Amino acid sequence: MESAWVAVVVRAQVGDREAVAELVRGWHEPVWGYVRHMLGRADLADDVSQEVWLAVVRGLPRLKEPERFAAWLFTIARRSVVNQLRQRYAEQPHVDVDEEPDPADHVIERIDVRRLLGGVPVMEREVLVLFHLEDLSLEECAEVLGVPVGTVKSRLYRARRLLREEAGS
Amino acid sequence: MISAEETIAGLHDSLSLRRRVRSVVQLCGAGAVVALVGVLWLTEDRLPARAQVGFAALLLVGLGVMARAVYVLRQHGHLFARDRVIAGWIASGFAVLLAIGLALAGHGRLGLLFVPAALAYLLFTHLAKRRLERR
Repeated sequence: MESAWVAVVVRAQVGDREAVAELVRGWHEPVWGYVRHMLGRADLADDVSQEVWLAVVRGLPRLKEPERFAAWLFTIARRSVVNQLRQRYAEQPHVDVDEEPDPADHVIERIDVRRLLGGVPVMEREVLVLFHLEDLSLEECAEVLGVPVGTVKSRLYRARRLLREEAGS
Repeated sequence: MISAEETIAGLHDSLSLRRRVRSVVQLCGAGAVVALVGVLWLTEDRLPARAQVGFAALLLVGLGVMARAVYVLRQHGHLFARDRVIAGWIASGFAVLLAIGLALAGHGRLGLLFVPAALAYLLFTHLAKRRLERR
């Protein structure tokens, strides 16, 4: 995360209400986009993203490492999404893959990803949104998802394969 | 899509300093009353039954106000560093008032326990805020 954002997070933690507004202005769209892609409905994304920001305001004073704000924010967003998806969210087995994400694979245009995401299962969709659309690092994705980096890689690998299949169909 | 400004407007209540401070004032004020009445009740001999009923009612109301204030504060989440400093000043003010009340009731020494505790909390909040501002 950029150091400019760290300063804004710290100002918000001190109690500068304008800094909180600045955070919302800067991060509202990524959060809304993530929630929208995960839930598939704009009206739900409105409610859930509002819920996310309330949780952020409540928890912000206790955030120990401001530089990890992005991962913390998306962890909160994910928790809200999982609450929404709990009914239809089924655990799926993962395949451990040791290889690094293939550079050739990530030549996936954002526009294509957005268009095809709806056909990808929730777990794979989530990692695609975080990594490709929200530009979170592998480590940040792992933190948000609460899994090891290796698992993020394996999910990305599978997600790209599914995306390719989706594009080919 | 809900806009960022609409989202910020939706956070207004949670961010309201006035609402947070009001809850802190209620908590500290009710706490001081509960402490004062409690000490008097425990230490005064031969209190008439009517006075005891009055004390019990005051304690119940005080505890109710404290519980409500705690609930509201929890709903709004943790206090920001600057808000905690304000809470420290409020707590210190009520600790001084409590100490004066206890001194007037003949329990001056007991009152002296509250003031240093509140001042220590105030100092802690100042240091925490300064540490954060230096980052």
